[in-house]
Amino acid sequence: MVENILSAFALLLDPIVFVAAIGGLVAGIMVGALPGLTATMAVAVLSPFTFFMDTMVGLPFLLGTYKGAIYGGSIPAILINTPGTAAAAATAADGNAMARAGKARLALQISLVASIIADLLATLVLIAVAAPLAAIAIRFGAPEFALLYVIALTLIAAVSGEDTIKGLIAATIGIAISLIGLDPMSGYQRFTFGSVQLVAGISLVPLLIGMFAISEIIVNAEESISGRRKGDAIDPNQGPRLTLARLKRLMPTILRSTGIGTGLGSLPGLGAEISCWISWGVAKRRSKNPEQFGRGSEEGVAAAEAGNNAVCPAALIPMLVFGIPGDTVTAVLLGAFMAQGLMPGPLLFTRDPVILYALFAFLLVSNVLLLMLGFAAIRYLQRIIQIPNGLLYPVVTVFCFAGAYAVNNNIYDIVVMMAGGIAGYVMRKISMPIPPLIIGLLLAPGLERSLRQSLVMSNGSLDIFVTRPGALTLVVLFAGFIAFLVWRTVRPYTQSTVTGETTS
Amino acid sequence: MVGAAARIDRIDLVTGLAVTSVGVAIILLLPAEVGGETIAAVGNMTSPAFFAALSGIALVLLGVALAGRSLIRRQACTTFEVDQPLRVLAASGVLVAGVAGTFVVGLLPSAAAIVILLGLVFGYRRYWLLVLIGAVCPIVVYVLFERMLLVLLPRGWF
Repeated sequence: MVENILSAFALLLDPIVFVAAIGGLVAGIMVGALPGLTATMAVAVLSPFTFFMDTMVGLPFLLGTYKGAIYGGSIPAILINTPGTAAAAATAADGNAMARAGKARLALQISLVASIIADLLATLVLIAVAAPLAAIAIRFGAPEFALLYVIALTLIAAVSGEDTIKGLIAATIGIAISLIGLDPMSGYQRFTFGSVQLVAGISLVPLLIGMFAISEIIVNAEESISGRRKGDAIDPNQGPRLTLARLKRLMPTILRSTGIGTGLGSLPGLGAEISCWISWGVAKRRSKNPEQFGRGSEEGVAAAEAGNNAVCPAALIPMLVFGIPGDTVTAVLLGAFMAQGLMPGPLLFTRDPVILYALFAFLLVSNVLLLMLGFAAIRYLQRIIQIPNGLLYPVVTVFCFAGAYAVNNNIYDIVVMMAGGIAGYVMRKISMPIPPLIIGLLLAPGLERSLRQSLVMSNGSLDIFVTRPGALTLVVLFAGFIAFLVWRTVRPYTQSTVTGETTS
Repeated sequence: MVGAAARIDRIDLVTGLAVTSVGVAIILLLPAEVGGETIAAVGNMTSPAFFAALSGIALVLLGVALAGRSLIRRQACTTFEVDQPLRVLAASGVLVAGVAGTFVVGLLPSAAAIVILLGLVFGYRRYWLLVLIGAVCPIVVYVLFERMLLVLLPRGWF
């Protein structure tokens, strides 16, 4: 492992890697700082560019974009009370109140430093946990992986939206879409309707660009009145600075929120959007001054930012170890890894350890870069966040078209993107979560392959799922989770019945 | 470009019925689209139609559950509401026209049109700046994709 880490750092010495990392971080911070442009959208739109780059250039670029976008979302949250990304929603609660009280610089610096400390610690957890977990996962056979896929899909479908039924519908639609094309085991064509274009299946990246970027553009067309964004940005270069003494006071909050973010991020389905609010809520409960939360609490900003940034490295744990993306950004990253010839899963740790550890090392080093770029962003991004929607979205749209086409040099991918955009818009309007669909689409082929391999191994008997210790453990876990889901679904009905009886 | 808000109160019922229909369609299409298999494939996990049959049945059940719930608990229903339907239609129209334009005249001329028309849909009124960006954007895309990434962009039919 030490040898791998040393070789990995040697790979990082190439200046082009740093240029790519800085490019990714800058792009991410800018996209994150622009309200309406999300981290998923940034990674989805930029991922086609990385397909033409070397692995150690393209992946640092995308990882930098991811980290930059999650941090960048806090800048407009603090300066104009409009979170750049959903993950920065909790930051706006206290950050903007601090800015209005003349402490904009302090709020931005707390947000930056809390983000970096959380990211750094979560990356260390990733490095410490990933290899031992992979050593366990490598003993998993097809039955264990089939169960793991089922658990991940159910978890994501159940918790990524407010409505379990809609989450399950989205995941099932994703599975149905994944069936289009050739059956991987028998070679049968499925749902191709005689079209040559459908034989290779539905291309993931154009669909992602459509569902996240194009649908966002349509949503914003509905809400936008053009012109400049509402409210003027507050000058970020005035007010007190973050001192060491102040940082020391905030450290317990940052560490606690990092723990929450790392724990939630490593579970499929629970992303930065949830982590920031839970961290904020826990910090409020543990604070000596809970009444200040929502009115300009420094602890509130630190908790929200540490909570959402710790998710970034933690979400890579299930993706790298099991090949299971925990959220939509890691789903796009999974696609980018596969496009680079890297197959996330336990074998990645034995097949490409140097590249993997180089990426881990990059995640550590990128925090130093983010610190430098973050301070510059605080100073100069004030104007960028006020670019009018009428100029921003048309330009983003053109890059979506070109990016979707460039993935496979296939003009029909633009049609897939557009269909995904309209479907994504409708799903947002009917409160149906998009992540389960995307993750269903991604996991279904692996699930199908593992299930069928398991049945071939057992001559068609389902006993194989309960006679192996690993599989049996997963079955018990799954049964417990299903019982919890049923209880959660049934509880409102029983409660309303009891209330109805009481009131009548 | 404003219009009255479009609103459907019990969209969960509509969604449930639509999802059920998709599930039924998958099951009905099985014999034609998955090597002559039928819904009976759901009993054979090694069949290429197993997942198709399973997802079809799951969609029917989930669709019925959603529609049923919308009838039992009306207050829990989602409302489908579009504040500016004309603007949404205009934006979608520009995007669909952009896709069609990419097939017919190629990506770069379509890109110029998308920038200008979508800018107008978003209500941007500095026309000279829109035209300028409409001219510069395709050039940037050309240099980035064709020159740097060596991706031959669609040229259209002509």
